[in-house]
Amino acid sequence: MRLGSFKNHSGHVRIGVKIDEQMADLTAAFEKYLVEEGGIGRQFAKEAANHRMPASMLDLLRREEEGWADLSTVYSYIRNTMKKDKVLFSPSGDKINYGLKEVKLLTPIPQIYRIFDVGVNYEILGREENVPIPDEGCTSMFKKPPRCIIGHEDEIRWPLSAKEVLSELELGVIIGKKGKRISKADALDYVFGYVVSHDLAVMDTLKNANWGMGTESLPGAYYIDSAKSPDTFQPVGPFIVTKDEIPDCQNLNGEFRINGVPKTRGNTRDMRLTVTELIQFLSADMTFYAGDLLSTGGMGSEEYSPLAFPQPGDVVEAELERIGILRNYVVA
Amino acid sequence: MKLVSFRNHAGETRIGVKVGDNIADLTAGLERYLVEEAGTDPLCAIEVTNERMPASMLDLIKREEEGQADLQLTVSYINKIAQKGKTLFSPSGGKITYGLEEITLLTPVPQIPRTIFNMEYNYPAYERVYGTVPPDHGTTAMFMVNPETVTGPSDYIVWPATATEVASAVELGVIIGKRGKRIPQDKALDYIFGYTIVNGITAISILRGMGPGRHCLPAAFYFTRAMTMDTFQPVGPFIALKDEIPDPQDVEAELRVNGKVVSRGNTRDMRCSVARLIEFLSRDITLDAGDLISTGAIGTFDFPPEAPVKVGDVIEAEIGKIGVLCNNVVA
Repeated sequence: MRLGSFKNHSGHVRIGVKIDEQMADLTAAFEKYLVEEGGIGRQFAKEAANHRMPASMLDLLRREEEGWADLSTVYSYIRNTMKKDKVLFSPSGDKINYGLKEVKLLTPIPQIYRIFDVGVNYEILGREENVPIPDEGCTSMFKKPPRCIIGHEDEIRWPLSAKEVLSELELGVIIGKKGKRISKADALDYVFGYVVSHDLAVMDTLKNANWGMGTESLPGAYYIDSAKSPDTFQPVGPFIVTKDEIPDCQNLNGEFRINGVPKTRGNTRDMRLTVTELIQFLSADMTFYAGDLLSTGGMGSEEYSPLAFPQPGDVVEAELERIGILRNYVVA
Repeated sequence: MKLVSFRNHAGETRIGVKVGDNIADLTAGLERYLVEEAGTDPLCAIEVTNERMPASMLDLIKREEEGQADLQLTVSYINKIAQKGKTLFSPSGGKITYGLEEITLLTPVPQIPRTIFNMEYNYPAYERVYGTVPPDHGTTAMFMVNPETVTGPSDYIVWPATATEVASAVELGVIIGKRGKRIPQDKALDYIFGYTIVNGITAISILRGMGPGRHCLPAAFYFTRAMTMDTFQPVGPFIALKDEIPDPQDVEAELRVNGKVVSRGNTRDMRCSVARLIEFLSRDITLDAGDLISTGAIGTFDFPPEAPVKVGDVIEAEIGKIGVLCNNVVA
């Protein structure tokens, strides 16, 4: 399933699933399902649908297993009901299927506020940034504030504090279940799906402060959260691809392009800590919640550096195999 | 004026103001004001009140100037009608005045989402005591913690599974009262809703034990993880508004562990003032009403900013003009 959030013709934020070249409004579709297949009275169906298939992706994810069960039900129902040239409506009159061009696609979880980015999770990144590789089984983690998050085709705003901006291509993991002290063996049960994640940082902030100088407290890292936190500095999208579609998240090719030119290439098999190891490591003393984003570190390879430097005016594309292309525009 | 969030006898989360030794429920207080002084129909008053003085502190703060005006109005009305030893009620029967023993104080802003910015190395004591390399002039280190990390007065600090050493620090917390970006220093205080006490807990062994030595691997690399462990950020018990603290750069603070003074200092020693921190952070980050900036561990050479704590300890973080925040460390 490819799940997304979108703004419909009346400006409301809705959740949808992509089927061929259409978006099906999940809340409206679920209302229709409840009446036509679930035997629920029309007068109750809308309220039940709003509760069980809320228009907020975060609220849906927080329903965990129950939300997933409802999602699977409505998906198989709507996939069989939707026709190419026919517009469907819910019993209360909400439009169900939209052409992709009719809607404004948003970042998949616009309500997100818990964003975890992992640093130095590919050895090539440590080498190129001249940062020592952390101990085995460990890695660094940074947080970003909610206003970093933007979606496909949104604008990345050039920060006041930057002359140079760094882009990293990352596999984003969406957590699907609350948990703490999650073992590596159980960790995939806590994954809901995957997104393309583009992690930006202000290089000046890090460099001017002696990044990589190797003094005791290394001022560069003082500013790592500041450097990564400007508004619009974490595009995520275009859809959440549910984990059933990604049999092995440790074998995905990625490519990052600036104005169509490949800058970064890598494969998730080169992660130092795998997705399941990261979940085990980070959840030891911190609770994960459904809807959390865990961005698993900048990818790269010997031939295609993990470090790319976009400029105002550039079109940047982050692509991950099986997940999609996330395109954004850098504006001054 | 000192504000709280509390749980009442019915288990509901409410917002209140400290009146003498009592707490007055602000939502119930405004309802009574509307009926008694503004001539509002009692049937409409509840709905109007829930909108203008919501029981969620975060929702109130997000009303920005309008919310603050309603707050002033409500508090002066409550002060006018409050009488010692007399319990007041709202027209719909909601209790207004509570004794402190009747309620449970919560962290002043228990709602999420909001962003928590923790500033570090913001006192020169760090260089003198720990030999830390100071951040560039006019800047300081910032790390964010999850809003779920925030707990309240009397809540437990739970010892983490992956750390052997944990430290506590008293910090002045600044609660943002107005959304803004690129806020200049001379306007920054206008963006403050009030001040609170933060007990900043850090798993300091995490900073040391995860890479090839302190000399190569920046401790700061691991700061976020070391601070955002569950229960690691008690905040409270009150929000002191600006009438209580006209100058945030002259606030005395003290940290006690089992009654013994371990840290002590004054916010006048901050490297970056509160106003400068707001300017620095808001350069490229939008600050939202309700966000918390914890302005750095307070200390001096004689009373260092970081105090090691262990299981069983009782920690009291005191800022005279705000109150005392007390938490126990448990296994």
